[in-house]
Amino acid sequence: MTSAGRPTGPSRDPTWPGASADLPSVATIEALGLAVSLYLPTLMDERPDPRAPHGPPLVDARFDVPDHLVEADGRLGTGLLAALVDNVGGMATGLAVLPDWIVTTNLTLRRPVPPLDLDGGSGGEGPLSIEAGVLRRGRSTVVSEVAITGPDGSTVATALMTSSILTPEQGPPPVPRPLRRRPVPIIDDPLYRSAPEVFFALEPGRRPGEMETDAPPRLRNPWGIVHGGALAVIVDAAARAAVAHPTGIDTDPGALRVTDVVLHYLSPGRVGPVVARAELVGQRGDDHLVRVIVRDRGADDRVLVLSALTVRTRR
Amino acid sequence: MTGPVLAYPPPDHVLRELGLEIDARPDGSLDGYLPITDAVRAPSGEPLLGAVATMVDVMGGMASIRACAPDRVATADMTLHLIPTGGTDQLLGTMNIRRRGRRTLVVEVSLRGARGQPAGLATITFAVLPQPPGSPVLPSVEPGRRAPLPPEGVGRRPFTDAIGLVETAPGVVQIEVRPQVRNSLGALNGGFLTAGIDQAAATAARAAIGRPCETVELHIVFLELGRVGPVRAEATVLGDLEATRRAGRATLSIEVTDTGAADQVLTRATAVAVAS
Repeated sequence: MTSAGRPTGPSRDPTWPGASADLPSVATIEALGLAVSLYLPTLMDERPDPRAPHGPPLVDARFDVPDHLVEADGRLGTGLLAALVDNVGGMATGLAVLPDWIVTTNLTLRRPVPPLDLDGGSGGEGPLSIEAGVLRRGRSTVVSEVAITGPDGSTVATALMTSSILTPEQGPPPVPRPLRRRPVPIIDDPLYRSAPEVFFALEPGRRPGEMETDAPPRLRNPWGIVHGGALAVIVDAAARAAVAHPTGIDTDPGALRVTDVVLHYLSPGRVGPVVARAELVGQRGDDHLVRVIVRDRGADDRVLVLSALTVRTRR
Repeated sequence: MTGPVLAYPPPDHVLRELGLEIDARPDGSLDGYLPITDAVRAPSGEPLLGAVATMVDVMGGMASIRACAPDRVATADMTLHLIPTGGTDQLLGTMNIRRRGRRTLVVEVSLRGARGQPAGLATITFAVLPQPPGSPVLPSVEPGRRAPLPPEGVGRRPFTDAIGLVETAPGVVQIEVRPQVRNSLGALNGGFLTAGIDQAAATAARAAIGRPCETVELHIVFLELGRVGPVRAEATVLGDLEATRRAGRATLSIEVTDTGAADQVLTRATAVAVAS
């Protein structure tokens, strides 16, 4: 939904997302800045907030966790969850400030320890229900809360996000109101059914705990800025890589779980490659505190994101 | 047009009991030093998150005054992660400004123990607001190290007692908004409010896990000021309770309301508390 620096919308074309027959080409989708949203397709509805019927609406979303997105334990990575929070929370926040729009400035997400972390079992967590609502609208910022629950109603993650209100030059995204679920287009391109590290073009960096992406067009919004969800994914990957390497406890980053993430979006990423560098700060039992800085190497190493995460070692 | 310079904190303010020292450097960064006495220790002997948050909040306030004057700032959010120091009698925080925009200021605090060992990380976002004409201005922050504000009173009573924190039920605490705990705007000090969140989370975790607990991670958004009181913090354990108990680690959601202002929601937060 949002990126570091400029507002994006669910669509720049009011006819999308509609029936599959309306679907533009992959190149057009990427040029429109919709690729990340189509990689993580969510079905969204708006409804009145029962606590404030005359206030901004709540946005309910459903996400049918596809197999290619889940990790070895059958669950989504925390970076992808943060990208979903940005999408759905961004929509709820944007609807609250129309005819302006928003840009996410920070996002915090926390996921409870699930039973399988203790039992060593595995299992899926989809479909996910996502509810987003505005906690406070100020003159220049909006604070929102997002709750993600599993099919049994259990908490998968809870998030808080702050957004700045902006007035886009071309107006807000053309969101059809009331917001109602529509068919999700199926893109006939294997890239959109690939694992996150492939779609987000993640590569190990030049040293341990470093990940980078050359930020291809599909990771950008219509203004050429790297999507905030893509930055969350690379932060997650770098943090896990930093923990996996030096500890020797479990050298597979896929066997590590980020249990909380703090993302401060400081500047827009316009050039690339985008490099996330993680450093271990300390440890509490199985929990490792990691600090990650994301820079735009092609823009004089401008800092895009300041992040802190807890990475848990699964035994 | 500027107003009079505000005298804060007043002589009997609880902030003075912390013995906090601040060293403001010419480049805009700050060092803060917090004595770790029994008054500010968690059950494990590690620094109490609420006290650390108060130090971080004071440092952030001073850094923001330096960075944004003559504009005013309001704390928008804070995150704090603590890691065990293995024992320390002092906490050092080093604060650096990471972004100064037109409307927001983002600072980061690196925390270390007396031996230089890592103790945690914090970030704060401030909203930058125009200074209303004629309203009181905060004193400027000149470079240099400031001695603790007299009277020091460090360690005479537990920090949670000093701020008047009362546990009314497991996971529920209240704080009266007395002059000794107000901020420069007359509302409950943000650090003390955070201390309430800390204790609500720790006591809710204690009830779930069955052992003394302490808060070690916190994400908080500040929505409104607590001007009337009592301010009430209530924590709820998220996720599977059996898993929480077995792990000795609780994830919590916390809501803070002003009970004297029609239960207006002041903050929302999430936290992790672990068995001590």
